[in-house]
Amino acid sequence: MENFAIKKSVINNEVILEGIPASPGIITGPCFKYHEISLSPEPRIVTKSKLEFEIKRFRRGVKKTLQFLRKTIPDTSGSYSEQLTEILSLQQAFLEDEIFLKEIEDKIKNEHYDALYAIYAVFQKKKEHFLQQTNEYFRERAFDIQSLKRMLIKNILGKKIEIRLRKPSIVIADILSPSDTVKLHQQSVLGFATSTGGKNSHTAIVARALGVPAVVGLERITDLVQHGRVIALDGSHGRVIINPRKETIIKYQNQQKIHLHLEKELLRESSTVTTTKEGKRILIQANIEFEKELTNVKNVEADGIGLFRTEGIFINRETLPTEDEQFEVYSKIACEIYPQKCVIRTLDIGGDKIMPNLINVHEQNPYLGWRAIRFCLDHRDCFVSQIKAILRANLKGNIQILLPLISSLEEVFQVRELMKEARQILVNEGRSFGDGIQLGIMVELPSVVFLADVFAREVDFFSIGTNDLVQYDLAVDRGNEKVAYLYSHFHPSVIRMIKHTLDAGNSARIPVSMCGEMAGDPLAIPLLLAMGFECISASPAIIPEIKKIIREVDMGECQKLYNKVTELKTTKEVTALLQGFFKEKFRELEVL
Amino acid sequence: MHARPAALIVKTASKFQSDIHISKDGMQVNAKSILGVMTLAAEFGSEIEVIANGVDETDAISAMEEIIESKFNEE
Repeated sequence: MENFAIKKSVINNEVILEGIPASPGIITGPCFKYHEISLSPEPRIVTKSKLEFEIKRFRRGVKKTLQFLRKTIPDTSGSYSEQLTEILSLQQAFLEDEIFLKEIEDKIKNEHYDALYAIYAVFQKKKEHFLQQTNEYFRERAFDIQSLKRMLIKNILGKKIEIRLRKPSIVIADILSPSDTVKLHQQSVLGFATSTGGKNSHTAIVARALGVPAVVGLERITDLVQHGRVIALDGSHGRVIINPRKETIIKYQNQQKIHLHLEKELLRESSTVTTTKEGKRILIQANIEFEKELTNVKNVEADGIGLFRTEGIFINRETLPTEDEQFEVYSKIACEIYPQKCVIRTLDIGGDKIMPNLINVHEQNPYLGWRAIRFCLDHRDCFVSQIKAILRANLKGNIQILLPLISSLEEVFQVRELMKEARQILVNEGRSFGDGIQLGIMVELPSVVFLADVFAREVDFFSIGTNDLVQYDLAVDRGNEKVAYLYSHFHPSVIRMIKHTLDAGNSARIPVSMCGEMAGDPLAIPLLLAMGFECISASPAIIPEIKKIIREVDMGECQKLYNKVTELKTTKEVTALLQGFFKEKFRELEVL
Repeated sequence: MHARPAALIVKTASKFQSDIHISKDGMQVNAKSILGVMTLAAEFGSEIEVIANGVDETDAISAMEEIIESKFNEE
């Protein structure tokens, strides 16, 4: 009796789980709990006469799984990311690897295990081997092995591989592999919630491709939810509510409606030129890393690209990209965005990331170490080829170069020398290129802030990178959960630094923009306007909202707000004031 | 090495009758097995050794050498 009472009270209680937001949006609906059938078979020894049968059983399972993969792979190309197609193709290659298959067969033949255990044992060993690798790429292959093993065992047992939803549902699982999820887009998946995974896990990729909300990294979710029960899921904030009360469901359903409506409306309004109430024109540019993001940039009608991060071209590959490869990407982006501007930031990464095996640096303190411009100035060939590619892509003259992590003037001079060299090589090679390119720097170190007037005379523009600026100003690693609470771009010293930089730029008559996360923080917008920013750059997804905020404020109220902020002494006070302003003025935007 | 170069190595090795193995850091795998080659977790700059044994071993070694070098030096 007592047990019953306890259980009942647990079930009736709302439980809020916090996870990692993986795909935005809000949804309520019944959950479909994806049962992981127990796939760790017990070691089972079979008699000699049965061995032939076990081998046949194994081969049949392989054949069936290969059929599934061959049939599925063409479905994934186009509609999903290339990543997914690659994973499935690799799984297919593994199952076509006779030497590997023979290993499993030998396990049956020599050790007399049944097919299931032989598969399990051999796959498990491979999986553990990959898990031990230091290189992330190889470590991730362990999941491919794991999901392949599962497919194979399920096929031998005759279980269906695909998830079949009887009605529109939120899918709950510990982990969803690509093969679990590929078929889901033909079904009515409302959202995903998984106990494992990160922002770039398979589930996150698929959810974003499908345009449904997802939250990952929700510990214990599979234990806590019951199949078929209604839950509420907020993919924008990474929250799941189990056993939601009626009022909660209604609240979420309303938010969902508002969210959808608002998104549509914001996107429609995004096409208009952005001005404040009294008509001050503000340029809203986009931060991107990949060529394919150009579509998003166009959808939200950004005023050009304020930050093109080139790291994406350099990492996750075996060799450095050639000058020609880089040229193609830069010139495609510059042409597509023309006549608007495209700011290309030179490689902003540590050497260990792009050449993990060539450069064996174990830095005590990588954030204060050999990265970005420091690495590039030590690898002149690599840097010169990037500069050459950018100059060649600048035929229409709409590219600007942005240097990361500049800490002293000598670095700017060295870059100017290397640019001269790059031009000379291009002339010698008889290649056409667009000269007269503007050179700007990221203002992200306190040293540059204090010397902003000096730098302003030597470069063509500033772009304030708030993420690093906050990190170096407050000495906080935001990835360290013990100190992350100290990280905020609303720290009064950060605000003063930004204002100081802006004023120095204005006196020298060079443009100052901002491309850090602060520029994409709705709360910060009125502040930035009051300080005098006329151009900011943020990720395309947030641009419609930023544009709306700018359209609906006037400079007078922004100025008043800013004046109040300058009198405050702590991050907490500043944040509270801005939140109050926002809440009052933009109540309807709060759901986003 | 990643999936694509690994596949290329397997394809090349499979053209020969000889037994071909690749080793790295004391671990040896069959060069005709994609899973085997992947488990080496070789990266750009890794030092690997190729061992061939059979009727066409000399040709096999030079073909393997060529494919590995070109794969890693391609810039």
